[in-house]
Amino acid sequence: MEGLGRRVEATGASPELAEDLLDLLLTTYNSAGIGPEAGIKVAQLYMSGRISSPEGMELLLKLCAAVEPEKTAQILRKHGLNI
Amino acid sequence: MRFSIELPPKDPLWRLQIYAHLADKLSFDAIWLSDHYFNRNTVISATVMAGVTRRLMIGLGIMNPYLYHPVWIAQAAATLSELAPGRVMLGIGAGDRLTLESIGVEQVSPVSRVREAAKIIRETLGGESGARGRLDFRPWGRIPLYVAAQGERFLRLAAEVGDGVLINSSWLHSPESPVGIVRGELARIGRDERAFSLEMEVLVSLHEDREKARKTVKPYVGVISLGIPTDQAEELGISQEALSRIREMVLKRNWLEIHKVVPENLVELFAVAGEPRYVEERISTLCEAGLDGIVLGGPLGPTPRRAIIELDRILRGLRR
Repeated sequence: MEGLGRRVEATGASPELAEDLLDLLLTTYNSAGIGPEAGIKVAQLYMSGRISSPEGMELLLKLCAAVEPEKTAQILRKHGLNI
Repeated sequence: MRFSIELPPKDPLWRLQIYAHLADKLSFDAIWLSDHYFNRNTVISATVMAGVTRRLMIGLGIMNPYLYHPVWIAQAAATLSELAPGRVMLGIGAGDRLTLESIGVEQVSPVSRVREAAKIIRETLGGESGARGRLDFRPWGRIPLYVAAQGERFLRLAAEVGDGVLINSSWLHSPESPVGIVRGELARIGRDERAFSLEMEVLVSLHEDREKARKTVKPYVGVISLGIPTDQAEELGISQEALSRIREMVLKRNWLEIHKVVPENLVELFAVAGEPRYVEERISTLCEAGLDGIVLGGPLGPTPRRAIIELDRILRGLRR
């Protein structure tokens, strides 16, 4: 996952992709798979407007891949990405 | 017209922070943190929400005097006001019998119990000398007290002891009835209705895919339907068989399967669930029912963050 946020950012898909990934984390039934520290970090990045920054994208991708691997792959494909 | 959102702390705190922060940036007036013992703690959740909002009113409730002593409820609200001065609201109610019974609490004399709780809370918050639970500190700003009401006796009680009423979503099919009862009672006892806020909680689920929206709201509709008195259920054409299937699912907390036993007509009766245009029409109609506010409750939608944004767009249009 290292450097993944920057690679995604370079595609220009970040804000819309970040929203889709965020919504996946907000709606997954597997929320127990997201630890409080990671969840709070997501909230902090969102509230500070940095959720689609490289740091935000990296965290979103890491968490989404862990709790919803198939849906994450679908979202990435929807945005024309195959990481 | 005031529009609020209910945020049930069934979600982790970080999710609630995102929703509350978003609502604070948009045009909503308030958030209510509902209280169910099986969810996260309401007061702690509200405290966290106070830290991520700057403008929104924050409602504790509905707090239940069968579970918490009224002095404790007042103390919690007063403490919260130090983080959110002038932004705290309190809601009290008798809770639902089924939930209370599941943890061995008997719901005896609910109207008297809530009336007494309202009195103690007011005394405690007001710092009256001789109050049973006088605090050694004062709340920051006035804390309005709402009473949650479903049946007629509670609607009258709200008019008697509350600064406002939160009318249960089960009245959605005929909102003029509870509004008439409360306004009638306010007039009867000589209270100025301009100093009273008549608000209704409405289960909402919004999504472009109508079926998805309806499926998402069904667990909430199921719980609401169990609180309907038997005679009212009969009047509305709700079969006891359906209710007993729902009861079984609720007792098992089988939230993922409950949509299978909640009939479609209950969704129509107790919720606003569908595409944005449909939700807009239903809320617009509700705005004509003589209410002072609407609390958008329930799931809000299969994707709550997007639903909050869409609801804001709808409400801005209605306000114009």
